[in-house]
Amino acid sequence: MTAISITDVSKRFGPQGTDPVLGQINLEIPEGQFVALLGASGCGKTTLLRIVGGLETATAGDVSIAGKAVTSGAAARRDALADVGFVFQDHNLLPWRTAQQNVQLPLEARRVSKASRSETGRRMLDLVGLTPAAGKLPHELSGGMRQRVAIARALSYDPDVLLMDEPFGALDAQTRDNLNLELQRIWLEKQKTVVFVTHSIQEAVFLADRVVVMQAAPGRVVADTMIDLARPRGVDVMATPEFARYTGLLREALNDLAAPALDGVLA
Amino acid sequence: MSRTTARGFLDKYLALITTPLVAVALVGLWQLYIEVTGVSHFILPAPADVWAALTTQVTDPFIWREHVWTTFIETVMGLAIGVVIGVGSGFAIGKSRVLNLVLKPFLVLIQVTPKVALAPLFVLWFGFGESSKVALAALVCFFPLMVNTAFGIQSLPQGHNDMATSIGAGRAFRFLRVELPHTMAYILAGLEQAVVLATIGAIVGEYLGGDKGLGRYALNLQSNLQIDLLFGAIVLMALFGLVLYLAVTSLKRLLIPWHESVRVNSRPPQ
Repeated sequence: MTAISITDVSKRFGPQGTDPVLGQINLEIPEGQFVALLGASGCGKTTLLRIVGGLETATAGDVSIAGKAVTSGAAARRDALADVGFVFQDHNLLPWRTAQQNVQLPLEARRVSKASRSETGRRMLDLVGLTPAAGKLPHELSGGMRQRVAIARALSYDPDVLLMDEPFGALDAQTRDNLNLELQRIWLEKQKTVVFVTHSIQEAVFLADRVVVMQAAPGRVVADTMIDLARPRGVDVMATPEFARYTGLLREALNDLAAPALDGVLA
Repeated sequence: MSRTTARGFLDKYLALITTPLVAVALVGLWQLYIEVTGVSHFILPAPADVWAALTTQVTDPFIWREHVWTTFIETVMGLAIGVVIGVGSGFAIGKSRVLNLVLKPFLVLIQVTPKVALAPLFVLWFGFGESSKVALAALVCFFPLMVNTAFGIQSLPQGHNDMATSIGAGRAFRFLRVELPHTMAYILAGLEQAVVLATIGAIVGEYLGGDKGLGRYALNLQSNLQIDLLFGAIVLMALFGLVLYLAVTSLKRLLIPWHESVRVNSRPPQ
């Protein structure tokens, strides 16, 4: 079944709407798939993700999640987004709440009972390996720990779809590798549909079932590739020839103007 | 001891040692000035006389009941009204762009008007009783509360807004759980200025009329040439302001222990 369906979505900025950010984007994402949106800065990948997550509106086109339209009216949008979790590049934790209280925030917004909230909060922190940090405030946590809390928060209400906007972009390489492994583990356990925005080819190939490559001016999809590597993947997969083949092809797609030809090669 | 720990030691304890030393030195200079110049005790009383005056004042229940308590009630009531109006209007203009644009010229006008200049008018409108002092205290203290509240709500990070949208927060939830706690740090910064201003408003109001309060008391002492007691009254006012200021500081520790301005330095694990 289709989890996310993006039909002819375009977005223009500027006073007269003359500045095209996204051309016509069409994308169908089946349930349970891990999709990486790969592209250079300014290619519109974050804008596309924010439109899917209801944080920005499209100039034209439709987005629906599990058949419910995101792009038509506030009430319908809220209904469609009830089953969507969002993880931002900046953790966006509330600085006055402890890790566990931050994780439980969406449950409070959903009027979940107090007992059930703290039970879920503890379970989510355990899932991301942060049980000992439950009572700590965000400023007492490292960058990687904050991002784990943000992931736990997005998972707390058990959404079917997880949208992630370069969540590990600001972290050092080693922390990033660890969190990628952890994210894979969580994904294998929970089987969510994930759309993961990144500008790192390695990260995209390592994490995703499918990589969608975008180029700028206007933002458009130039390649759409399945990554056929066995799971669970360890860090050593990055040293294999298959991995190198994928990263090589994607690098070409990112840079090459003749990229659409890749569709035939890899699809 | 390494250089950094020596520095930490200085930051922590230096003021504890120097404050009494500098205070003693200042009192010594004061005494010396009187000895050398032989200035009249109607102009500048000796430290010992002021100390004696102050001890009679703090042990006199009449002064507490009639003057300190009156000024306290005026200040706190003025502050309460200032908080309600200041925080309320701050949220309104902080959240509404239109309201901000419409009201801005008038707010600037209110800000540049010396508020204590309105004191005679307030006596005319509200009489010589406590209400004119409360009104003046409220007027002079509401402005920093309004400006800080408006600035606080406008400085809410876009990321917090996005996060609230993404978790499906409604308007009330967003206000109570995200906007209000974020703005609280700014409201308290405004309150820090407001307590001092409200005290000034109440005392200036008392200068103009009535028969109670620390301001009135100081004026009476001046006309009776009881200058040692006048100095004592000024010390009482300073202590009065200090107590209110400390109350706000404790309120900050209580309400925003997470904020940079309050929390003790703790580093995240590496």
